[in-house]
Amino acid sequence: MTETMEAILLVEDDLSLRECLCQFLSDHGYRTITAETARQGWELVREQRPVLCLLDLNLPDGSGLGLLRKIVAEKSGMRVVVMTAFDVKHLRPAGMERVLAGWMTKPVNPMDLLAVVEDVMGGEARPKGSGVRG
Amino acid sequence: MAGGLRSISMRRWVAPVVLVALAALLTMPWSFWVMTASYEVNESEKSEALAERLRIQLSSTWWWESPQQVLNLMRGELMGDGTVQAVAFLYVHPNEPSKADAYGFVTRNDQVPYPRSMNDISRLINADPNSYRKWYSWPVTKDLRGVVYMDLSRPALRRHFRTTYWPLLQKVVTLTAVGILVISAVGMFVYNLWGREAMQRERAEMEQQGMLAERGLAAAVLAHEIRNPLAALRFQLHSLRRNANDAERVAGAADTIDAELLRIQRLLQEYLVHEKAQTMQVEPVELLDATRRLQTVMSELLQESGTRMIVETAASHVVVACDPHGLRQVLMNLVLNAQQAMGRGGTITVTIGREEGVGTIALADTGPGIPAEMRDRLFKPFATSKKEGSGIGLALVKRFADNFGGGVSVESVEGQGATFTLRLPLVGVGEAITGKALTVSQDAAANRQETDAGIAPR
Repeated sequence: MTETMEAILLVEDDLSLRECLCQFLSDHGYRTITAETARQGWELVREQRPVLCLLDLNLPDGSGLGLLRKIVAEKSGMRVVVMTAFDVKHLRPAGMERVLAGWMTKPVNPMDLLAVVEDVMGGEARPKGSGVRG
Repeated sequence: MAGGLRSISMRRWVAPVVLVALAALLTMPWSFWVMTASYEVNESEKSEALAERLRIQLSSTWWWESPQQVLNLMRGELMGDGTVQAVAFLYVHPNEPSKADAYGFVTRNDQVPYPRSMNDISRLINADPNSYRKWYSWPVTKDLRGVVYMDLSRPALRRHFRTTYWPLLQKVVTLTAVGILVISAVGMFVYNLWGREAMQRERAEMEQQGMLAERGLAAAVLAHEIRNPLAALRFQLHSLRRNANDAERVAGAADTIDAELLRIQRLLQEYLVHEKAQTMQVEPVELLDATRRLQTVMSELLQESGTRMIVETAASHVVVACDPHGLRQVLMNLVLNAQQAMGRGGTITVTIGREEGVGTIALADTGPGIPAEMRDRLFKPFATSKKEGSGIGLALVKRFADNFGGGVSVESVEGQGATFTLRLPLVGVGEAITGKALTVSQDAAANRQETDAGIAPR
Protein backbone atom coordinates (compact mmCIF):
# COMPACT_ATOMS: atom_id res chain seq x y z
CA MET A 1 0.00 0.00 0.00
CA THR A 2 1.85 3.02 -1.21
CA GLU A 3 0.96 6.69 -1.05
CA THR A 4 0.60 6.81 -4.80
CA MET A 5 -2.32 4.40 -4.62
CA GLU A 6 -5.67 5.92 -5.34
CA ALA A 7 -7.68 6.41 -2.20
CA ILE A 8 -11.23 5.93 -1.10
CA LEU A 9 -12.67 8.77 0.95
CA LEU A 10 -14.92 7.67 3.78
CA VAL A 11 -17.19 10.35 5.24
CA GLU A 12 -18.91 8.91 8.30
CA ASP A 13 -19.50 10.47 11.71
CA ASP A 14 -20.05 7.21 13.59
CA LEU A 15 -16.65 6.30 15.03
CA SER A 16 -17.01 2.55 15.32
CA LEU A 17 -18.65 2.13 11.93
CA ARG A 18 -15.89 4.31 10.42
CA GLU A 19 -13.24 2.09 11.96
CA CYS A 20 -15.00 -1.08 10.85
CA LEU A 21 -15.30 0.21 7.30
CA CYS A 22 -11.69 1.35 7.27
CA GLN A 23 -10.50 -2.04 8.37
CA PHE A 24 -12.82 -3.76 5.90
CA LEU A 25 -11.50 -1.70 3.00
CA SER A 26 -7.89 -2.10 3.96
CA ASP A 27 -8.49 -5.85 4.35
CA HIS A 28 -9.49 -5.83 0.72
CA GLY A 29 -6.47 -3.83 -0.26
CA TYR A 30 -7.79 -0.31 -0.53
CA ARG A 31 -6.28 2.80 0.95
CA THR A 32 -8.82 4.84 2.89
CA ILE A 33 -8.86 8.40 4.05
CA THR A 34 -11.56 9.36 6.53
CA ALA A 35 -13.57 12.43 7.39
CA GLU A 36 -16.06 12.97 10.19
CA THR A 37 -17.92 15.91 8.77
CA ALA A 38 -19.01 17.19 5.39
CA ARG A 39 -16.54 20.10 5.69
CA GLN A 40 -13.60 17.78 6.36
CA GLY A 41 -14.83 15.57 3.53
CA TRP A 42 -14.87 18.48 1.09
CA GLU A 43 -11.33 19.53 2.13
CA LEU A 44 -10.08 16.00 1.49
CA VAL A 45 -11.84 15.90 -1.86
CA ARG A 46 -10.02 19.08 -2.89
CA GLU A 47 -6.64 18.05 -1.49
CA GLN A 48 -6.33 14.35 -2.14
CA ARG A 49 -8.54 13.79 -5.16
CA PRO A 50 -9.91 10.40 -4.13
CA VAL A 51 -11.43 8.19 -6.81
CA LEU A 52 -14.39 7.09 -4.73
CA CYS A 53 -16.26 8.57 -1.80
CA LEU A 54 -18.34 6.54 0.64
CA LEU A 55 -20.73 9.10 1.98
CA ASP A 56 -23.04 9.07 4.99
CA LEU A 57 -25.96 11.46 4.66
CA ASN A 58 -26.58 12.21 8.33
CA LEU A 59 -23.55 14.27 9.29
CA PRO A 60 -23.05 16.61 12.26
CA ASP A 61 -22.54 19.72 10.09
CA GLY A 62 -25.42 19.12 7.75
CA SER A 63 -26.60 16.68 5.20
CA GLY A 64 -24.16 14.73 3.09
CA LEU A 65 -26.40 15.66 0.17
CA GLY A 66 -24.69 19.08 0.11
CA LEU A 67 -21.31 17.48 -0.29
CA LEU A 68 -22.74 15.18 -2.94
CA ARG A 69 -24.01 18.18 -4.92
CA LYS A 70 -20.63 19.89 -4.68
CA ILE A 71 -18.90 16.77 -5.97
CA VAL A 72 -21.42 16.52 -8.82
CA ALA A 73 -20.91 20.20 -9.68
CA GLU A 74 -17.12 19.71 -9.77
CA LYS A 75 -17.38 17.14 -12.59
CA SER A 76 -14.04 15.61 -11.66
CA GLY A 77 -15.04 12.08 -12.54
CA MET A 78 -15.06 11.08 -8.90
CA ARG A 79 -17.71 8.53 -7.94
CA VAL A 80 -19.82 8.45 -4.80
CA VAL A 81 -21.55 5.68 -2.88
CA VAL A 82 -24.16 6.97 -0.49
CA MET A 83 -24.74 4.99 2.70
CA THR A 84 -27.74 6.16 4.64
CA ALA A 85 -29.75 4.98 7.59
CA PHE A 86 -32.82 6.68 6.17
CA ASP A 87 -34.65 4.14 4.13
CA VAL A 88 -36.12 6.80 1.88
CA LYS A 89 -35.76 6.58 -1.85
CA HIS A 90 -37.19 10.02 -2.54
CA LEU A 91 -34.09 11.64 -1.05
CA ARG A 92 -32.16 10.21 -3.95
CA PRO A 93 -31.45 13.12 -6.28
CA ALA A 94 -32.14 12.68 -9.96
CA GLY A 95 -29.60 13.26 -12.73
CA MET A 96 -26.58 12.14 -10.73
CA GLU A 97 -26.18 8.72 -12.28
CA ARG A 98 -22.73 9.59 -13.64
CA VAL A 99 -21.45 10.35 -10.14
CA LEU A 100 -23.60 8.11 -8.01
CA ALA A 101 -22.15 4.60 -8.04
CA GLY A 102 -24.52 3.25 -5.41
CA TRP A 103 -27.21 4.13 -2.91
CA MET A 104 -27.17 1.79 0.08
CA THR A 105 -29.29 1.57 3.15
CA LYS A 106 -27.60 0.75 6.44
CA PRO A 107 -26.86 -1.86 7.65
CA VAL A 108 -24.95 -2.24 4.41
CA ASN A 109 -24.16 -5.72 3.20
CA PRO A 110 -20.32 -5.88 3.07
CA MET A 111 -20.34 -7.98 -0.10
CA ASP A 112 -22.61 -5.49 -1.89
CA LEU A 113 -20.35 -2.64 -0.88
CA LEU A 114 -17.29 -4.57 -1.98
CA ALA A 115 -18.88 -5.26 -5.35
CA VAL A 116 -19.51 -1.56 -5.94
CA VAL A 117 -16.04 -0.57 -4.73
CA GLU A 118 -14.39 -3.14 -6.96
CA ASP A 119 -16.52 -1.99 -9.87
CA VAL A 120 -15.42 1.63 -9.43
CA MET A 121 -11.81 1.01 -8.46
CA GLY A 122 -11.19 -1.52 -11.16
CA GLY A 123 -11.50 -4.63 -9.00
CA GLU A 124 -8.74 -7.16 -9.52
CA ALA A 125 -6.57 -4.66 -11.39
CA ARG A 126 -5.91 -2.87 -8.11
CA PRO A 127 -2.91 -3.96 -6.14
CA LYS A 128 -4.06 -5.85 -3.08
CA GLY A 129 -2.30 -6.62 0.18
CA SER A 130 -1.98 -10.38 -0.28
CA GLY A 131 -0.84 -10.90 3.31
CA VAL A 132 -4.04 -9.44 4.66
CA ARG A 133 -6.15 -11.87 2.67
CA GLY A 134 -4.58 -14.78 4.56
CA MET B 1 -56.09 18.87 6.07
CA ALA B 2 -57.08 21.28 3.29
CA GLY B 3 -59.78 18.87 2.22
CA GLY B 4 -61.11 18.79 5.75
CA LEU B 5 -61.28 22.56 5.97
CA ARG B 6 -63.01 22.81 2.65
CA SER B 7 -65.61 20.27 3.62
CA ILE B 8 -66.29 22.13 6.86
CA SER B 9 -66.85 25.46 5.09
CA MET B 10 -69.03 23.66 2.55
CA ARG B 11 -71.14 22.35 5.36
CA ARG B 12 -71.46 25.87 6.80
CA TRP B 13 -72.95 27.03 3.51
CA VAL B 14 -75.21 24.13 2.90
CA ALA B 15 -76.73 23.66 6.32
CA PRO B 16 -78.64 26.98 6.59
CA VAL B 17 -79.92 26.71 3.03
CA VAL B 18 -81.18 23.20 3.64
CA LEU B 19 -82.71 24.30 6.93
CA VAL B 20 -84.62 27.21 5.38
CA ALA B 21 -85.86 25.00 2.56
CA LEU B 22 -86.94 22.40 5.09
CA ALA B 23 -88.67 25.05 7.18
CA ALA B 24 -90.53 26.37 4.15
CA LEU B 25 -91.57 22.85 3.15
CA LEU B 26 -92.80 22.08 6.63
CA THR B 27 -94.66 25.37 6.97
CA MET B 28 -96.36 25.47 3.57
CA PRO B 29 -98.86 22.65 4.10
CA TRP B 30 -99.78 24.29 7.37
CA SER B 31 -100.58 27.48 5.51
CA PHE B 32 -102.67 25.54 3.04
CA TRP B 33 -104.45 23.91 5.90
CA VAL B 34 -105.34 27.34 7.21
CA MET B 35 -106.45 28.44 3.76
CA THR B 36 -108.49 25.41 2.92
CA ALA B 37 -111.71 24.76 4.68
CA SER B 38 -113.82 21.76 3.85
CA TYR B 39 -117.42 22.41 3.16
CA GLU B 40 -120.30 20.35 4.35
CA VAL B 41 -124.04 20.28 3.76
CA ASN B 42 -126.60 19.17 6.25
CA GLU B 43 -128.74 16.48 4.62
CA SER B 44 -131.88 17.35 6.55
CA GLU B 45 -131.95 20.96 5.45
CA LYS B 46 -133.95 20.85 2.26
CA SER B 47 -136.44 23.52 3.05
CA GLU B 48 -137.27 26.44 0.86
CA ALA B 49 -135.67 28.83 3.30
CA LEU B 50 -132.40 27.03 2.88
CA ALA B 51 -130.52 30.15 1.92
CA GLU B 52 -131.08 31.60 5.38
CA ARG B 53 -129.86 28.65 7.38
CA LEU B 54 -127.51 26.89 5.09
CA ARG B 55 -124.28 26.15 6.82
CA ILE B 56 -121.78 26.16 4.07
CA GLN B 57 -118.12 26.01 4.54
CA LEU B 58 -116.66 26.77 1.22
CA SER B 59 -113.08 26.46 0.38
CA SER B 60 -111.46 29.84 0.28
CA THR B 61 -109.46 28.72 -2.66
CA TRP B 62 -112.63 27.99 -4.51
CA TRP B 63 -114.57 30.96 -3.42
CA TRP B 64 -113.56 34.46 -3.03
CA GLU B 65 -115.55 34.98 0.13
CA SER B 66 -115.66 33.40 3.55
CA PRO B 67 -118.61 31.16 4.34
CA GLN B 68 -120.20 33.85 6.47
CA GLN B 69 -119.86 36.30 3.67
CA VAL B 70 -121.39 33.80 1.26
CA LEU B 71 -124.35 33.53 3.59
CA ASN B 72 -124.51 37.27 3.73
CA LEU B 73 -124.30 37.40 -0.01
CA MET B 74 -127.20 34.96 -0.22
CA ARG B 75 -129.16 37.16 2.11
CA GLY B 76 -128.52 40.01 -0.21
CA GLU B 77 -127.00 42.10 2.49
CA LEU B 78 -123.72 42.76 0.84
CA MET B 79 -124.80 43.03 -2.74
CA GLY B 80 -122.88 46.14 -3.52
CA ASP B 81 -124.63 47.90 -6.35
CA GLY B 82 -127.28 45.16 -6.42
CA THR B 83 -126.11 43.38 -9.52
CA VAL B 84 -124.28 40.12 -9.95
CA GLN B 85 -122.10 38.95 -12.74
CA ALA B 86 -121.62 35.39 -11.59
CA VAL B 87 -123.83 32.68 -10.16
CA ALA B 88 -122.87 29.50 -8.44
CA PHE B 89 -125.10 26.56 -7.61
CA LEU B 90 -124.49 24.22 -4.79
CA TYR B 91 -125.48 20.60 -5.28
CA VAL B 92 -125.49 17.48 -3.31
CA HIS B 93 -123.61 14.78 -5.07
CA PRO B 94 -126.24 12.27 -6.30
CA ASN B 95 -124.24 9.21 -5.29
CA GLU B 96 -122.60 10.58 -2.20
CA PRO B 97 -125.10 12.71 -0.26
CA SER B 98 -122.52 13.73 2.31
CA LYS B 99 -120.54 15.53 -0.35
CA ALA B 100 -121.57 18.56 -2.22
CA ASP B 101 -120.31 20.22 -5.35
CA ALA B 102 -120.57 23.75 -6.39
CA TYR B 103 -120.75 24.76 -9.99
CA GLY B 104 -120.93 28.15 -11.36
CA PHE B 105 -120.96 30.17 -14.50
CA VAL B 106 -120.51 33.75 -15.43
CA THR B 107 -123.46 35.46 -16.96
CA ARG B 108 -121.63 36.96 -19.90
CA ASN B 109 -122.01 40.45 -18.47
CA ASP B 110 -125.82 40.14 -18.60
CA GLN B 111 -127.42 41.50 -15.52
CA VAL B 112 -129.06 38.74 -13.56
CA PRO B 113 -131.97 39.61 -11.29
CA TYR B 114 -131.40 38.75 -7.69
CA PRO B 115 -133.36 35.56 -6.93
CA ARG B 116 -135.48 35.62 -3.82
CA SER B 117 -136.90 32.10 -3.93
CA MET B 118 -136.48 28.68 -5.48
CA ASN B 119 -138.86 29.75 -8.22
CA ASP B 120 -136.55 32.60 -9.10
CA ILE B 121 -133.72 30.12 -9.26
CA SER B 122 -135.65 27.72 -11.47
CA ARG B 123 -136.50 30.58 -13.72
CA LEU B 124 -132.91 31.65 -13.85
CA ILE B 125 -131.77 28.21 -14.83
CA ASN B 126 -134.57 27.66 -17.29
CA ALA B 127 -133.77 30.97 -18.90
CA ASP B 128 -130.51 29.57 -20.08
CA PRO B 129 -130.80 25.81 -19.71
CA ASN B 130 -128.48 24.97 -22.55
CA SER B 131 -125.53 26.76 -21.22
CA TYR B 132 -125.96 24.96 -17.97
CA ARG B 133 -126.83 21.48 -19.25
CA LYS B 134 -123.96 21.64 -21.63
CA TRP B 135 -121.67 21.52 -18.64
CA TYR B 136 -123.41 19.26 -16.19
CA SER B 137 -125.11 15.98 -16.81
CA TRP B 138 -127.53 15.42 -14.00
CA PRO B 139 -130.93 17.08 -13.44
CA VAL B 140 -130.55 20.61 -12.34
CA THR B 141 -133.29 21.14 -9.84
CA LYS B 142 -133.07 17.82 -8.07
CA ASP B 143 -131.01 18.04 -4.91
CA LEU B 144 -130.40 21.73 -5.31
CA ARG B 145 -129.29 23.09 -1.95
CA GLY B 146 -128.56 26.65 -2.52
CA VAL B 147 -127.38 29.38 -4.76
CA VAL B 148 -124.34 31.42 -4.32
CA TYR B 149 -124.02 34.67 -6.10
CA MET B 150 -120.70 36.14 -6.71
CA ASP B 151 -120.50 39.86 -6.80
CA LEU B 152 -117.65 40.79 -9.09
CA SER B 153 -118.35 44.50 -9.02
CA ARG B 154 -115.40 46.72 -8.21
CA PRO B 155 -116.47 47.73 -4.65
CA ALA B 156 -117.20 44.07 -3.89
CA LEU B 157 -113.78 43.02 -5.11
CA ARG B 158 -112.16 45.76 -3.11
CA ARG B 159 -114.10 44.71 -0.06
CA HIS B 160 -113.21 41.09 -0.72
CA PHE B 161 -109.54 41.94 -0.91
CA ARG B 162 -109.71 43.96 2.28
CA THR B 163 -111.70 41.48 4.34
CA THR B 164 -110.60 38.08 3.03
CA TYR B 165 -107.63 37.98 0.79
CA TRP B 166 -105.39 40.48 2.59
CA PRO B 167 -105.78 38.97 6.08
CA LEU B 168 -105.30 35.56 4.58
CA LEU B 169 -102.17 36.67 2.78
CA GLN B 170 -100.89 38.24 6.00
CA LYS B 171 -101.62 35.06 7.87
CA VAL B 172 -99.85 32.88 5.34
CA VAL B 173 -96.80 35.12 5.14
CA THR B 174 -96.59 35.45 8.92
CA LEU B 175 -97.00 31.76 9.51
CA THR B 176 -94.40 30.88 6.90
CA ALA B 177 -91.94 33.44 8.23
CA VAL B 178 -92.44 32.33 11.84
CA GLY B 179 -92.12 28.72 10.77
CA ILE B 180 -88.88 29.40 8.91
CA LEU B 181 -87.48 31.35 11.84
CA VAL B 182 -88.40 28.78 14.46
CA ILE B 183 -87.23 25.76 12.50
CA SER B 184 -84.05 27.53 11.38
CA ALA B 185 -83.29 28.61 14.93
CA VAL B 186 -83.82 25.12 16.29
CA GLY B 187 -81.87 23.66 13.39
CA MET B 188 -78.95 26.05 13.80
CA PHE B 189 -78.87 25.38 17.53
CA VAL B 190 -78.71 21.64 16.98
CA TYR B 191 -76.21 22.09 14.16
CA ASN B 192 -74.06 24.26 16.40
CA LEU B 193 -74.08 21.68 19.19
CA TRP B 194 -73.26 18.97 16.70
CA GLY B 195 -70.54 21.07 15.11
CA ARG B 196 -68.94 21.87 18.45
CA GLU B 197 -68.95 18.20 19.33
CA ALA B 198 -67.37 17.32 16.01
CA MET B 199 -64.73 20.01 16.55
CA GLN B 200 -63.89 18.70 20.00
CA ARG B 201 -63.68 15.19 18.62
CA GLU B 202 -61.39 16.40 15.86
CA ARG B 203 -59.15 18.19 18.35
CA ALA B 204 -58.94 15.13 20.59
CA GLU B 205 -58.04 13.03 17.57
CA MET B 206 -55.34 15.48 16.58
CA GLU B 207 -53.90 15.48 20.08
CA GLN B 208 -53.79 11.73 20.06
CA GLN B 209 -52.17 11.77 16.65
CA GLY B 210 -49.59 14.19 18.00
CA MET B 211 -48.82 11.78 20.81
CA LEU B 212 -48.61 8.91 18.39
CA ALA B 213 -46.41 10.99 16.13
CA GLU B 214 -44.07 11.68 19.03
CA ARG B 215 -43.98 8.00 19.80
CA GLY B 216 -43.50 7.24 16.12
CA LEU B 217 -40.68 9.79 16.09
CA ALA B 218 -38.95 8.06 19.00
CA ALA B 219 -39.31 4.76 17.17
CA ALA B 220 -37.94 6.31 13.98
CA VAL B 221 -34.95 7.72 15.87
CA LEU B 222 -34.36 4.30 17.37
CA ALA B 223 -34.62 2.64 13.98
CA HIS B 224 -32.17 5.16 12.57
CA GLU B 225 -29.67 5.03 15.42
CA ILE B 226 -29.65 1.26 15.51
CA ARG B 227 -28.51 0.98 11.90
CA ASN B 228 -24.97 2.20 12.52
CA PRO B 229 -24.11 -0.48 15.09
CA LEU B 230 -25.90 -3.02 12.93
CA ALA B 231 -23.74 -2.05 9.97
CA ALA B 232 -20.60 -2.23 12.12
CA LEU B 233 -21.67 -5.68 13.30
CA ARG B 234 -22.06 -6.84 9.74
CA PHE B 235 -18.59 -5.70 8.80
CA GLN B 236 -17.10 -7.33 11.90
CA LEU B 237 -18.83 -10.62 11.10
CA HIS B 238 -17.48 -10.39 7.59
CA SER B 239 -14.01 -9.84 9.04
CA LEU B 240 -14.46 -12.82 11.40
CA ARG B 241 -15.27 -15.10 8.51
CA ARG B 242 -12.31 -13.89 6.48
CA ASN B 243 -9.79 -13.98 9.33
CA ALA B 244 -10.98 -17.00 11.29
CA ASN B 245 -7.42 -18.25 11.70
CA ASP B 246 -5.98 -14.98 12.96
CA ALA B 247 -6.52 -15.16 16.74
CA GLU B 248 -5.71 -11.49 17.27
CA ARG B 249 -8.17 -10.34 14.62
CA VAL B 250 -10.87 -12.66 15.95
CA ALA B 251 -10.44 -11.29 19.46
CA GLY B 252 -10.56 -7.72 18.14
CA ALA B 253 -13.69 -8.40 16.11
CA ALA B 254 -15.33 -10.11 19.09
CA ASP B 255 -14.59 -7.05 21.25
CA THR B 256 -16.11 -4.76 18.68
CA ILE B 257 -19.16 -6.98 18.31
CA ASP B 258 -19.60 -6.96 22.08
CA ALA B 259 -19.39 -3.19 22.21
CA GLU B 260 -21.80 -2.77 19.33
CA LEU B 261 -24.31 -5.15 20.91
CA LEU B 262 -24.06 -3.14 24.13
CA ARG B 263 -24.70 0.00 22.13
CA ILE B 264 -27.83 -1.49 20.61
CA GLN B 265 -29.02 -2.61 24.02
CA ARG B 266 -28.45 0.88 25.39
CA LEU B 267 -30.40 2.41 22.52
CA LEU B 268 -33.29 0.05 23.16
CA GLN B 269 -33.21 0.78 26.87
CA GLU B 270 -33.27 4.50 26.20
CA TYR B 271 -36.18 4.04 23.89
CA LEU B 272 -38.13 1.98 26.40
CA VAL B 273 -37.42 4.44 29.19
CA HIS B 274 -38.49 7.26 26.94
CA GLU B 275 -41.73 5.48 26.16
CA LYS B 276 -42.34 4.61 29.79
CA ALA B 277 -41.64 8.14 30.96
CA GLN B 278 -44.61 9.35 28.97
CA THR B 279 -47.08 7.37 31.02
CA MET B 280 -45.54 6.31 34.35
CA GLN B 281 -44.74 8.35 37.40
CA VAL B 282 -43.03 7.60 40.67
CA GLU B 283 -45.02 8.22 43.82
CA PRO B 284 -44.81 6.90 47.34
CA VAL B 285 -47.24 3.99 47.67
CA GLU B 286 -48.15 2.39 50.99
CA LEU B 287 -48.44 -1.32 50.29
CA LEU B 288 -51.20 -2.15 52.78
CA ASP B 289 -53.24 0.72 51.39
CA ALA B 290 -52.62 -0.54 47.87
CA THR B 291 -53.67 -4.05 48.93
CA ARG B 292 -56.89 -2.77 50.47
CA ARG B 293 -57.68 -0.92 47.26
CA LEU B 294 -56.93 -4.07 45.31
CA GLN B 295 -59.33 -6.03 47.53
CA THR B 296 -62.07 -3.50 46.85
CA VAL B 297 -61.51 -3.62 43.12
CA MET B 298 -61.37 -7.40 42.97
CA SER B 299 -63.99 -8.20 45.64
CA GLU B 300 -66.69 -9.04 43.12
CA LEU B 301 -64.51 -11.46 41.18
CA LEU B 302 -63.21 -13.07 44.35
CA GLN B 303 -66.73 -13.52 45.70
CA GLU B 304 -67.96 -14.97 42.45
CA SER B 305 -65.16 -17.51 42.25
CA GLY B 306 -65.36 -18.32 45.96
CA THR B 307 -61.77 -17.25 46.51
CA ARG B 308 -60.66 -16.14 49.96
CA MET B 309 -58.12 -13.36 50.26
CA ILE B 310 -56.13 -13.02 53.47
CA VAL B 311 -53.89 -10.04 54.09
CA GLU B 312 -50.97 -10.45 56.48
CA THR B 313 -48.49 -7.75 57.47
CA ALA B 314 -45.01 -8.82 58.45
CA ALA B 315 -44.08 -5.15 58.62
CA SER B 316 -46.20 -2.06 59.03
CA HIS B 317 -46.21 1.11 56.97
CA VAL B 318 -44.18 -0.16 54.03
CA VAL B 319 -43.94 2.68 51.55
CA VAL B 320 -42.39 1.96 48.16
CA ALA B 321 -41.68 4.17 45.17
CA CYS B 322 -43.54 3.26 42.01
CA ASP B 323 -46.45 4.16 39.79
CA PRO B 324 -49.63 3.45 41.83
CA HIS B 325 -51.80 2.69 38.80
CA GLY B 326 -49.16 0.41 37.37
CA LEU B 327 -48.84 -1.35 40.70
CA ARG B 328 -52.58 -1.93 40.86
CA GLN B 329 -52.52 -3.39 37.35
CA VAL B 330 -49.64 -5.65 38.28
CA LEU B 331 -51.30 -6.86 41.49
CA MET B 332 -54.57 -7.45 39.64
CA ASN B 333 -52.61 -9.47 37.13
CA LEU B 334 -51.11 -11.64 39.86
CA VAL B 335 -54.45 -12.15 41.62
CA LEU B 336 -56.10 -13.11 38.32
CA ASN B 337 -53.30 -15.55 37.60
CA ALA B 338 -53.68 -17.15 41.05
CA GLN B 339 -57.45 -17.34 40.73
CA GLN B 340 -57.22 -18.92 37.29
CA ALA B 341 -54.70 -21.45 38.57
CA MET B 342 -56.91 -22.42 41.52
CA GLY B 343 -60.25 -22.48 39.73
CA ARG B 344 -63.22 -22.27 42.12
CA GLY B 345 -62.44 -21.84 45.80
CA GLY B 346 -58.95 -21.60 47.20
CA THR B 347 -57.15 -18.97 49.21
CA ILE B 348 -54.83 -16.15 48.23
CA THR B 349 -52.59 -14.93 51.03
CA VAL B 350 -51.11 -11.49 50.54
CA THR B 351 -48.12 -10.83 52.76
CA ILE B 352 -46.58 -7.41 53.06
CA GLY B 353 -43.03 -7.26 54.36
CA ARG B 354 -39.77 -5.40 54.30
CA GLU B 355 -36.30 -6.51 53.28
CA GLU B 356 -33.04 -4.65 52.80
CA GLY B 357 -34.07 -1.48 51.04
CA VAL B 358 -37.14 -3.02 49.44
CA GLY B 359 -40.73 -3.49 50.34
CA THR B 360 -42.16 -6.87 49.44
CA ILE B 361 -45.64 -7.96 48.62
CA ALA B 362 -46.11 -11.70 48.21
CA LEU B 363 -49.17 -13.43 46.80
CA ALA B 364 -49.44 -17.10 47.75
CA ASP B 365 -52.12 -19.28 46.23
CA THR B 366 -53.31 -22.80 46.98
CA GLY B 367 -53.35 -23.89 43.35
CA PRO B 368 -51.53 -26.76 41.65
CA GLY B 369 -48.20 -24.93 41.65
CA ILE B 370 -45.81 -24.35 38.76
CA PRO B 371 -43.63 -27.14 37.33
CA ALA B 372 -39.90 -26.53 37.81
CA GLU B 373 -39.18 -26.40 34.07
CA MET B 374 -41.77 -23.67 33.63
CA ARG B 375 -40.45 -21.50 36.44
CA ASP B 376 -37.34 -20.35 34.61
CA ARG B 377 -39.11 -18.97 31.60
CA LEU B 378 -42.22 -17.86 33.42
CA PHE B 379 -41.44 -14.15 33.14
CA LYS B 380 -40.48 -14.29 29.50
CA PRO B 381 -43.14 -13.15 27.09
CA PHE B 382 -45.42 -15.78 25.61
CA ALA B 383 -44.52 -18.48 28.12
CA THR B 384 -47.76 -19.84 29.55
CA SER B 385 -49.27 -23.05 30.78
CA LYS B 386 -52.75 -21.61 30.45
CA LYS B 387 -54.86 -22.45 27.44
CA GLU B 388 -56.12 -18.90 27.02
CA GLY B 389 -54.11 -15.74 27.42
CA SER B 390 -51.04 -14.55 25.56
CA GLY B 391 -48.67 -15.22 28.44
CA ILE B 392 -47.52 -11.63 28.39
CA GLY B 393 -49.02 -10.74 31.79
CA LEU B 394 -46.13 -12.00 33.95
CA ALA B 395 -43.65 -10.49 31.52
CA LEU B 396 -45.33 -7.15 32.12
CA VAL B 397 -45.16 -7.70 35.89
CA LYS B 398 -41.43 -8.23 35.56
CA ARG B 399 -41.02 -5.24 33.30
CA PHE B 400 -42.88 -3.08 35.81
CA ALA B 401 -40.74 -4.26 38.72
CA ASP B 402 -37.51 -3.88 36.74
CA ASN B 403 -38.54 -0.46 35.62
CA PHE B 404 -38.75 0.78 39.20
CA GLY B 405 -35.55 -0.90 40.29
CA GLY B 406 -37.29 -3.85 41.88
CA GLY B 407 -37.86 -7.44 40.92
CA VAL B 408 -40.27 -10.32 40.93
CA SER B 409 -39.67 -13.93 41.85
CA VAL B 410 -41.67 -17.10 42.17
CA GLU B 411 -41.48 -20.03 44.57
CA SER B 412 -43.55 -23.12 44.12
CA VAL B 413 -43.85 -26.66 45.37
CA GLU B 414 -45.80 -28.73 42.89
CA GLY B 415 -49.23 -29.52 44.24
CA GLN B 416 -48.96 -26.96 47.02
CA GLY B 417 -49.45 -23.69 45.22
CA ALA B 418 -47.16 -20.90 44.16
CA THR B 419 -45.93 -17.67 45.73
CA PHE B 420 -45.13 -14.62 43.64
CA THR B 421 -43.07 -11.99 45.42
CA LEU B 422 -42.87 -8.47 44.11
CA ARG B 423 -40.01 -6.32 45.40
CA LEU B 424 -40.03 -2.55 45.06
CA PRO B 425 -37.55 -0.03 46.47
CA LEU B 426 -38.59 1.64 49.70
CA VAL B 427 -39.08 5.38 49.68
CA GLY B 428 -36.05 7.16 51.09
CA VAL B 429 -33.62 4.50 49.92
CA GLY B 430 -31.12 5.81 47.41
CA GLU B 431 -32.98 8.95 46.57
CA ALA B 432 -35.47 10.90 48.58
CA ILE B 433 -38.76 10.92 46.80
CA THR B 434 -41.09 13.70 47.67
CA GLY B 435 -44.79 13.73 47.05
CA LYS B 436 -44.03 15.36 43.74
CA ALA B 437 -44.06 13.04 40.78
CA LEU B 438 -40.68 12.17 39.39
CA THR B 439 -40.41 10.81 35.90
CA VAL B 440 -38.82 7.42 35.61
CA SER B 441 -36.50 8.50 32.85
CA GLN B 442 -34.44 10.66 35.20
CA ASP B 443 -34.02 7.84 37.68
CA ALA B 444 -33.42 5.14 35.17
CA ALA B 445 -31.02 7.26 33.15
CA ALA B 446 -28.94 7.92 36.26
CA ASN B 447 -28.86 4.22 37.12
CA ARG B 448 -27.90 3.28 33.64
CA GLN B 449 -25.04 5.71 33.47
CA GLU B 450 -23.60 4.21 36.63
CA THR B 451 -23.76 0.68 35.28
CA ASP B 452 -22.45 1.63 31.87
CA ALA B 453 -19.47 3.45 33.29
CA GLY B 454 -17.69 0.18 33.96
CA ILE B 455 -18.10 -1.18 30.47
CA ALA B 456 -16.56 1.42 28.23
CA PRO B 457 -17.03 0.40 24.60
CA ARG B 458 -13.60 -0.55 23.28
